[in-house]
Amino acid sequence: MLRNLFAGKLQSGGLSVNIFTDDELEQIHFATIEVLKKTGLFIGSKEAREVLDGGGAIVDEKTKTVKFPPYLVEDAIRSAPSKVLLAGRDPKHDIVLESNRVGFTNFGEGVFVIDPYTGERRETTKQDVADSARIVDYLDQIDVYERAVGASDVPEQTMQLHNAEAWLPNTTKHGFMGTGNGYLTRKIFDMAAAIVGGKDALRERPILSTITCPISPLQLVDESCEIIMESAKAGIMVNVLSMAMAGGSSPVTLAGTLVDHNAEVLGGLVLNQLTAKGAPFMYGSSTTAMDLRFAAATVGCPECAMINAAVAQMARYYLLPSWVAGG
Amino acid sequence: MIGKETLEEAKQAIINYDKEKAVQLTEKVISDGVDPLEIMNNGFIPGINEVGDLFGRGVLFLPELVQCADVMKTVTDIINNALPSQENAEEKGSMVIATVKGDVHDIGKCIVVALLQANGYTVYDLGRDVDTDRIIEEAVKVEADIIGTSALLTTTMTRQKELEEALKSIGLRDKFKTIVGGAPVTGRWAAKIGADAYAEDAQDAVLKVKELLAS
Repeated sequence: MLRNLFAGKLQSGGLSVNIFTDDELEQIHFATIEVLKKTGLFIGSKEAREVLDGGGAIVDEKTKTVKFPPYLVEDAIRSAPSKVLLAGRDPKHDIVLESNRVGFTNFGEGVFVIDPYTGERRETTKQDVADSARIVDYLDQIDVYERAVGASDVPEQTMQLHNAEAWLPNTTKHGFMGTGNGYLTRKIFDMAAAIVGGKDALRERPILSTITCPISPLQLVDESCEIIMESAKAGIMVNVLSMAMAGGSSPVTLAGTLVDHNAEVLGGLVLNQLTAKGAPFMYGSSTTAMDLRFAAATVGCPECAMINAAVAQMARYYLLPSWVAGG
Repeated sequence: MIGKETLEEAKQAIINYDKEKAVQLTEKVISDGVDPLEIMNNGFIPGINEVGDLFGRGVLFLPELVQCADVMKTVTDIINNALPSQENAEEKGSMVIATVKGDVHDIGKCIVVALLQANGYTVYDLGRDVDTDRIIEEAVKVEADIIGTSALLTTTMTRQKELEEALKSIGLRDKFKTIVGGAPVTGRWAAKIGADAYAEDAQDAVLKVKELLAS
């Protein structure tokens, strides 16, 4: 009996949770476009408002509100790269983000730690930052490092510089960190450039990415805008990571929360692409439901998982790399 | 003298966040010429106290707490307007509150304000991203009893320490009681910076404010 070769075959593999149909995803997208067009975002930085104004957004200087014509948003989605290289100080740790390839990271950013030697619950220090990087460096299952904890034993105005100094030498994996504000971001990029051999080398092989968080509902404060713009200028990927809390800082419905989240991230994307078209950008989420009994943010509840699945699907729809929160 | 039944109805109107009912009862008391403070002290206040208790026990949730506080505020305003001016509902105490400079998170603070007001305290809410100097200036201006600050970020928490030091350096530390709150804030932090109290959540804030004013 002959079993001949197939002339071309579509293959499947793995497992996915598809929260939306394409039509439903489109509804979320169009709702977002409407919000960005009619309500807009609060943009705290004057320079950012100028960039957005120059790009065609509608700026109200008095209220610091910016409204986005739909084409601006869609252009930005199109120009941001769908495939991004995150380099490690050691190339064996390089990782490519594309399509629905999945990777894992540790999460951040803790402020307390249970001392591994004394068992005491205490505030985290610069040494803890260094140690956490080292642990993550060792664990094969973790693909990239995120600054796990912060240094509480250093001056607050330069904390991010100390954090960078602590983790950069202690892992050869790519690292993510919140970089505080524009000034500190530039300094941290200088530090990374010194390690890899210059700004151009850093752009070629970026050993770090930045993270910044919009404030729900619909706000990008000064520092967030600065980080988005500095990252774009340096060719470093920025992870605009929203943490809307359903019932607290965004509508209680998950769909409404997603629209709010989406508007914030896409607003950040427009700013990023208008600063430097083609800059790498990541769609981030820690969005979850608020526990309405205790007014607490619950990252690890079932709604968080559903939102994560939704965010991953939305990012795929936009052909952007994404990052979602774990428990 | 207001009947027991009416007082019970008033209490329940707060617990069930039934604004219409609460207003109706209040207006009837006023039009009957009865002292509205009686329904406040023996009806509405026990109501809001029980609301706080139920919230603390996880029986009432945040949206209900906020709605109950809203009903309480409505009837409080009606009653205060009905009283001859010098006889305003006994001033329980006043507080200036703000989210510190550099920080724009204020959901928690707003809940604290709502609950404190519902419990009869006068609260001056300065909003968010407020300069330490301005907080002190306002507190002096309104002769507040307490200064409360909220911070969500470890990087802005230090403004709470700045406030303590500013008060000391201008010799006003003894004039106010200070209370701190916010996600990264702890009792230990409060003790470290010399704040008078730490509140973990809105209900705790009410308890701590009561204690601070009694001391």
